[in-house]
Amino acid sequence: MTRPLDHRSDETGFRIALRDWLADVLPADWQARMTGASEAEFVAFQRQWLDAMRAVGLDTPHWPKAWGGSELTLREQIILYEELARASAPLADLFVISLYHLPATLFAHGTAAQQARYLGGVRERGEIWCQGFSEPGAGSDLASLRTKAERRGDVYVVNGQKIWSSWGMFADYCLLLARTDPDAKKQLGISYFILDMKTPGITVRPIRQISGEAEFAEIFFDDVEIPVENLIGAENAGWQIAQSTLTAERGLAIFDYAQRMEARMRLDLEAGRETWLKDVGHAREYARFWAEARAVRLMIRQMLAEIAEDPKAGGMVITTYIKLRWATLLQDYSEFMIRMAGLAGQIATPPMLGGGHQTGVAMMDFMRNYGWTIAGGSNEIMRNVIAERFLEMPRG
Amino acid sequence: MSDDALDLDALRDSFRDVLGDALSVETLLRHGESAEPVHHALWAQIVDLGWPGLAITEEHGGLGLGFDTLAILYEELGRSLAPVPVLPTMLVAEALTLGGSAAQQREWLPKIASGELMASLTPPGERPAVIARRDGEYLVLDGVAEGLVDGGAAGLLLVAVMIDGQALRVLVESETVEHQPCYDLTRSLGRLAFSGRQVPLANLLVRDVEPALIDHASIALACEAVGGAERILDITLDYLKTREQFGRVIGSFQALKHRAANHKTDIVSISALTREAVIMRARDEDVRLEAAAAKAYACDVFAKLTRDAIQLHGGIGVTWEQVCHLYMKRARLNEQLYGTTAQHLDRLIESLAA
Repeated sequence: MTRPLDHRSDETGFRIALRDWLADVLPADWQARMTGASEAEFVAFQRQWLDAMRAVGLDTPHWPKAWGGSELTLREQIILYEELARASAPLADLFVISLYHLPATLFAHGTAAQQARYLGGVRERGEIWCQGFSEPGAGSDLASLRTKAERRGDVYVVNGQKIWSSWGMFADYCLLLARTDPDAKKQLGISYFILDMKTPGITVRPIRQISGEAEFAEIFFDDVEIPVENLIGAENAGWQIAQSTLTAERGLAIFDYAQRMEARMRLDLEAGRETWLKDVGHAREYARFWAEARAVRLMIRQMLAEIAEDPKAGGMVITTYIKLRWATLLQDYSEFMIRMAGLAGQIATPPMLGGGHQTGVAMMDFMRNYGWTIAGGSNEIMRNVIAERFLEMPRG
Repeated sequence: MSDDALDLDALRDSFRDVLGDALSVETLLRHGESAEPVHHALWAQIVDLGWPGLAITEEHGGLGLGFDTLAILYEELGRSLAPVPVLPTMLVAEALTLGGSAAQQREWLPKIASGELMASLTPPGERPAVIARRDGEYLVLDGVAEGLVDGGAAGLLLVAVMIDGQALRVLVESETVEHQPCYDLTRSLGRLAFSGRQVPLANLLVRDVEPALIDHASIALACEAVGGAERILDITLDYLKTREQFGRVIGSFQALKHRAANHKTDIVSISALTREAVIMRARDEDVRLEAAAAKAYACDVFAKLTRDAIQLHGGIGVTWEQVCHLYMKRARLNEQLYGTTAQHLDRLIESLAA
């Protein structure tokens, strides 16, 4: 089988090798198979796809070599994502936390043992991670979270509830924030844990969303024990560490999606040629979206260049702008496509799983896009951050 | 960081120092109330510093620097609303460089590089409104040349003319361009009616420069938009952080913060797109898509931001002495100049759907 990474030395060669490899491993009918698929079929196919990428080192293109990643250059990552988008390859949806949030957290704050065990687990076994941050009473005001972790000897004992954990039903591990000091100022009493989801006392319940699907889950903790070695960083330092996790969500993870959007928009343009594109107003609206989408991709490249220059602090500011711009653009564009689809677009079709937020079924895409405008810091929180931290406007 | 990047940063600082010192609100207002198409004292200063020659080849008396250098100047000129005809003059210089005969280049480029000559042109990409017919060694022009930016000060015009159904560009030495003051107090338009005006046939450019002029003008105005937008947002933020009502600084109200945050996000976005267009053009890549996109998007953001800047300033924002209206007026003019937003979106979709 073609191994694309053997052809890195030459751009065109790399591109051709990627195309050959995709032709080999990507089932031509995957979108049809995933349309209306069962949960079990979805999970099985996600695993199959991650395994295919893992076999050739393309599951972790953005990870440093030291952690077993492929450490592709910016240019190489762009080519990779362009080719994945061009082939309409599935997104590794189920593994987003494993591939982005976990490394962003452990690279900077994990112990050597944690890094070896858990990054290795993702790379070697495709372990699925979820995020245990939000709670029913702690959404935008995340720092007010109340799930408690009490130290008892060699373990912390956790009680409480988390919500909005993507794919919590299938997760092997959870990145968990819990309160370890109820008396400290709210940001200063939070610790960050690695939680094995097979630990006794955990109950997971899926949440059905407006699209009819259940991507998110609630997680309940009843005297759940976490060994002390699963603490990330120092006790009560969790809030700061969580910022690293969120930065990944706000920046790097968008790279692949933004390339997908370019491909999606091209398909939409082709499909609209004989219909809405003939209307000058609609054509202009589309052209404006093209400009905005190109700008977001360029913002992402700027972020990556900053990270390359300074792996620890680079890109921290621009990720916030990227998150806000990307979320609103995606929502605006899918809303535009709802209008372009007309009445026919209102006839319900079964959801296509693993197609991300840009399947081309406008109503479904639109409903799924709230995952960007609300999750990982809502648009409103992003605006607060920009105004207060970057523009230095006074706190209210 | 590379040496080139350092040089460009140093250059930006030097542009900003000069323009910032020279141009207060009072200076801009005084200029706007004068009948002068351009600010001659500032132009003289710019000439002393050699800016008109930045992008002109050394062979013709310039410094031979790239489009990326010029782009920084455009951004800083937009930031300061400098009432000088750098943009139209540079467009004519580029047209001469790309499409002029050796004789035309020898005659005009050194005068532009030295600052002795300001120039203007009919807007690129439009169907010529001037008809020319051949008459021996001459062309005879009839019709009206309009949209000549700062044309009242221009000694040389590059006029688009229609000859036998073909659009060409001809150089016309001018002395009587009608100065048309605009709402924008820092940029004016000019108009020149031809009625049997004779121009030497040798004044025709020898190569088509229209696509290059469209890209250059589009990206330049996007650069101005980025510079102007950044400045007016800074000014507005200063106001929001100091103005008090209801016993608190109004910038502490979330409704206003969110508007400011949206404006800033838009600026980050248009900057990224504009910078890419500049880099691509400096590398001589095909920049049609990015130029059209940057012009449409950046000028739109600039216009909307300046509209809201007045609103965010409240009553003081609608006074003559406050700087807001100067930016709003420039933004509105630029939105229409060298192709409207709609025209650029049409160009963009045409290329995308091709």
